[in-house]
Amino acid sequence: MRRMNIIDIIIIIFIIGGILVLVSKLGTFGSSSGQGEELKMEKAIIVIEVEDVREATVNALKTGHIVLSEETNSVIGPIKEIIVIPYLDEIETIDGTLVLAEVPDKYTILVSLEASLIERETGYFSEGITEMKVNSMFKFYTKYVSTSGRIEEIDWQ
Amino acid sequence: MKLINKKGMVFEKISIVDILIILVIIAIGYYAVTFLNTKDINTISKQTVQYTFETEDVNENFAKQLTLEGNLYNSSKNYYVGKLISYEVLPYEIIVPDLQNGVFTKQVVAEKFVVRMIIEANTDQDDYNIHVNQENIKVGAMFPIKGKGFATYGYIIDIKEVVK
Repeated sequence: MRRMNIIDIIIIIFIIGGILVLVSKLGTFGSSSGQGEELKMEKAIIVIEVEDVREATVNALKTGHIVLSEETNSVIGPIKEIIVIPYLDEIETIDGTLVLAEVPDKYTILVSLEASLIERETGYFSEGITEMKVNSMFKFYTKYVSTSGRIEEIDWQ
Repeated sequence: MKLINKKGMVFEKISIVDILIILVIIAIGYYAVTFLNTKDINTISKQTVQYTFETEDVNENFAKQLTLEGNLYNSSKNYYVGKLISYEVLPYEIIVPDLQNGVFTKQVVAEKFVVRMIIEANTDQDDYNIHVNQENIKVGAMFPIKGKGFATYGYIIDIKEVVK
């Protein structure tokens, strides 16, 4: 059999490098528990709190619209429920008391999304790509609106 | 002629190592293409939309420069974003805390205005985006805009599809 020359070795190294990049991009690198566990998608409702927005954002978010991650451009899932409440902010009054007061024309929106999540050792990943963590900021968009909010809850279905 | 000779040459033409390398490259290419194509099935359609672009904190001379049916451009990248259909000028209000009573109130800023422009454009749409050239039209999207005699920044606050 012909001996491998230096060119063959370089090509093989490039191929192995390419495979490692692909695997890490897919997010499966280092995700296995090492016991041959199969990764399963599970449905979850993700609640995102979008704060301090105007009526324009409230009107543009609609149930049924598909939400995508601004960071990964991947689909997260459809909006299942939208709750709109007045946005409250703190005021320090003259006597030094902190009070919460309604801000005119500003709203807080609780957006509930249905997502398919994969559970891994390092976290939960929507469609295996976008990491979802309670308390982290999440930039997202639908066809009609672009906004961001804090992930408040991951409720497994 | 042997299939593989003692030197590892297949049909005495090509090395078995080279064949293995080619097969691995084909497999990776196939896998990559399959992965990229299974993301979404996205169809592009043409649609006319009217979107409302709001710019605030401008002076009284701003509206004088607005021309109906005038072409508008992204002032940073110079591409066309639509034509001006109509506009309205509103007082510019800011929200201030009332420290005495612990509430927020709206106050009108003298000699400053909010201008809402209705812009019509032919768009390319897919399942998740509406594009006018490179501009992604979404409520909340901010971009710099210019006409013949003005330039400003602002936000899209509404999008309506036009049925013609």
